[in-house]
Amino acid sequence: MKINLTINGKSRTLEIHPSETLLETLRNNGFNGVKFGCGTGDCGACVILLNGEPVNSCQILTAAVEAESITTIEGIGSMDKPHPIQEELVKAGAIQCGYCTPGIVLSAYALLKSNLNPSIDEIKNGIDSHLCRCTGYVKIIEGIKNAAERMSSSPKHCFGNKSQ
Amino acid sequence: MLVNVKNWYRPESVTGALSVMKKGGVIPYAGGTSFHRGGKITAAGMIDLRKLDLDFIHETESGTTIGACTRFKDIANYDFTDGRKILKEACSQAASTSLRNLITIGGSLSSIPPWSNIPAALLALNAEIEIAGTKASKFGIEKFLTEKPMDGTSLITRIYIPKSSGFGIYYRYSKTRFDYSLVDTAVYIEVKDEKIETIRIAVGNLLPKARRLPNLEESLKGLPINSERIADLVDKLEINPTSSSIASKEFRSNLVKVFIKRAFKQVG
Ligand SMILES: Cc1cc2nc3c(=O)[nH]c(=O)nc-3n(C[C@H](O)[C@H](O)[C@H](O)COP(=O)(O)OP(=O)(O)OC[C@H]3O[C@@H](n4cnc5c(N)ncnc54)[C@H](O)[C@@H]3O)c2cc1C
Ligand code: FES
Ligand code: FES
Repeated sequence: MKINLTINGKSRTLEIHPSETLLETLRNNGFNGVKFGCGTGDCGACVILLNGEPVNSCQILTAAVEAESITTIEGIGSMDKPHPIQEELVKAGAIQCGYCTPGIVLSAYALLKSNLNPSIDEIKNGIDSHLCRCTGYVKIIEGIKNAAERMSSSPKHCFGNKSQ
Repeated sequence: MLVNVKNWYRPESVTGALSVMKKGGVIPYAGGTSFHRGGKITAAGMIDLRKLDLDFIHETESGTTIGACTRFKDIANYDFTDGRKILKEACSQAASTSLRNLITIGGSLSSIPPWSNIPAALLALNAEIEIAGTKASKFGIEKFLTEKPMDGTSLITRIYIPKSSGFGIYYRYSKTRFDYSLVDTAVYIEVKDEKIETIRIAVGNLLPKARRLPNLEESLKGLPINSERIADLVDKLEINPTSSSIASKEFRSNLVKVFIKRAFKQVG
């Protein structure tokens, strides 16, 4: 079957199987920043933004999101132009293998978009979907806190369109 | 495994969805979070409920009506001010942020996994469940949980939560913030002249099925809200929880008692 989606601001028509997960569709179409960890909703590696909200793409059948808007890590920052959240996570030493990072950046992005002055507890809640096997979370939380402080001086430049 | 799914239906009304269901071989899709835990789905088609306009929370004279496709996130963000905030608490503590953006109340009531945080909350609030289709009816939550009326040709459409002027308290215990809960407890208390007038206590996750504790409720009714007998009566509660590798029967049963006593302290 065919499905129309907006991915990172661009309209796309994709050929999918009705049993295909959004995680599979995205990876099959070159969005490899979306990671497969558990496939059961437990690890958060596959988190993307659906209409601006973090969701586990392994838990969604692509057919269910016809005409909706998806943001992957590729739509947030690039190697040449990383997003401030990505930069601050690097600076804080919050990345080792990096497998959990794309999902965490997207959850942090959604959190900071609605609250640029989150408490530590709010950050913990905002990233409660994510397992990190390497860093132990302290540095991730620190990186997000630093990103929030930095972004609060120019929020307009840090967030994309409304649906992101 | 969903390999058998070959067709996708996007009805725009409940009637449309039910007529596809009548033909058989199809299952409803709401939040979609129950389909990826192993086990084979034999259905050849999915009926997408996401466009049925069943995602709403309305206030009426008698209480709150919640559409079956309303997500946990939206219930968690809703401004329940009276005892109904039991449901708000249950939805905001369940699962994780990204899953709460998907999981629906109707999907949770249809599948009722043993770790669900919805049944205890709805039992304490005396909720009613509206079903459309071959089993069309309004079920009290206890009857709904006992009879499990979902038969493949019916849909849960609405959940009714009566006005609840009393205190609503909800506790959930899990070993980490995002883990299945070992116990959840919902307590609804109305106090008149310093005495317990109405009391509903429901426990979930530690028994095969969430349930009220009618004997304990009966023994507490009429007692002064600060009575020391409350703790004694709660300590006498006999409950026989399931045990697992992470929580013994004794631990779970003790947790329930601590939660119930804590609820009374909060109110008293
Ligand atoms: C990792 C993980 C952790 C979780 N933790 C918790 C937790 O802590 N607490 C908690 O409460 N829940 C938790 N859940 C959610 C729970 O396990 C179920 O997945 C969820 O309740 C199903 O709801 P859904 O909206 O996703 O339904 P779906 O997966 O879409 O559907 C569930 C079933 O109900 C049927 N159905 C759906 N809607 C209707 C309807 N309106 N009428 C009739 N039938 C319908 C479907 O055909 C299917 O059989 C967790 C889920 C995951 C993946
Ligand atoms: S791959 Fe989706 S939550 Fe782990
Ligand atoms: S950095 Fe390796 S899993 Fe998080």
